[in-house]
Amino acid sequence: MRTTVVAALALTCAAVLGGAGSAFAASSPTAAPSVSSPASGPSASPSVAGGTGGAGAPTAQPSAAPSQVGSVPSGAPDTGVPPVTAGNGTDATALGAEIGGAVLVAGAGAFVLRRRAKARG
Amino acid sequence: MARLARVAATVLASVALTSACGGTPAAPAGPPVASGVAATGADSPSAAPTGAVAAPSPIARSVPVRLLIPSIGVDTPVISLGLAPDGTVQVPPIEANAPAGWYRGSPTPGQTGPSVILAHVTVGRYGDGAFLHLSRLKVGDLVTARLRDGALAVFAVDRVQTVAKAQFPTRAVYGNVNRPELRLITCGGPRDSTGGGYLDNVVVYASLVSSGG
Repeated sequence: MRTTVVAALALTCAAVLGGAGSAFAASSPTAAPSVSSPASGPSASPSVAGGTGGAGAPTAQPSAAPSQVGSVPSGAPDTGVPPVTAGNGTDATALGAEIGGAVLVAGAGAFVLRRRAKARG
Repeated sequence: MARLARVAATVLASVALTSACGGTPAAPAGPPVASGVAATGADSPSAAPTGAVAAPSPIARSVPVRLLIPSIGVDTPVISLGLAPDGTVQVPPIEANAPAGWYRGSPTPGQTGPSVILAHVTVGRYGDGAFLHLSRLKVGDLVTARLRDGALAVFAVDRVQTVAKAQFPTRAVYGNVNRPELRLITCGGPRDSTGGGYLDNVVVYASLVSSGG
């Protein structure tokens, strides 16, 4: 009799455990969906990967960023006027030519004046 | 009776085994999920989010009035520049102590987006320009923009680029970004053999690291 009761108890426990097992099994599928949630992660990653460096990001920004550059300038900015004095070959040549010219003019003037003085005696 | 008990024990054991096997797969299923998430984070969000979190939040719009770059001795006023009739960006005037210029078509420093500031490298017979040594900047050097409302926007240099004018990186300079950034532009590189200007541009990319004032 006692053994029968024990056996019945064991069977009941087995039935309960079996149910729990299936319940776990059911819960594991719910965990699987959480695996599918990572799938949503990948879907996010592509968008960033689509960012492929930023191509995706910029396209997303424009609509949400009124503060960004509105009219993009064309070409490259010309932010440098080369110095006139330092080491520029063409400048040095021009300077030399100017000095040479001045010397020639002065020499010619002196020559003319001397000649006139000679002519006057 | 004894047989019945044996049967019960067998049933119990098999049930226990079954439930254990059922639970294990769930666990393995978990790890992949975690790794998948981690991978996703590593691929994209990790970079952007962490940067976004680390970066200070944008500050209120206010026009820049002064620019300071201690590492190359820059302390110059900043004027406002627009577009020239030909569609290029205006540049600061050719004069002694020519100031830097902020392109008013871009965000003010500290706002989200690329704020663009230009200055001359040399100013003809007036000698050196405000950005004479811009190309000497190094990653991490600090650049401070003082705004009209008294606020300070402090940027750290991310990279310095010297690029041929013919290949000016328009998109990198003016393209949208998701945080407050700064672009400093001047001329550089070799000069045109015909006695013209410089053949390259020097572009400094910096991002906001702090603000105050």
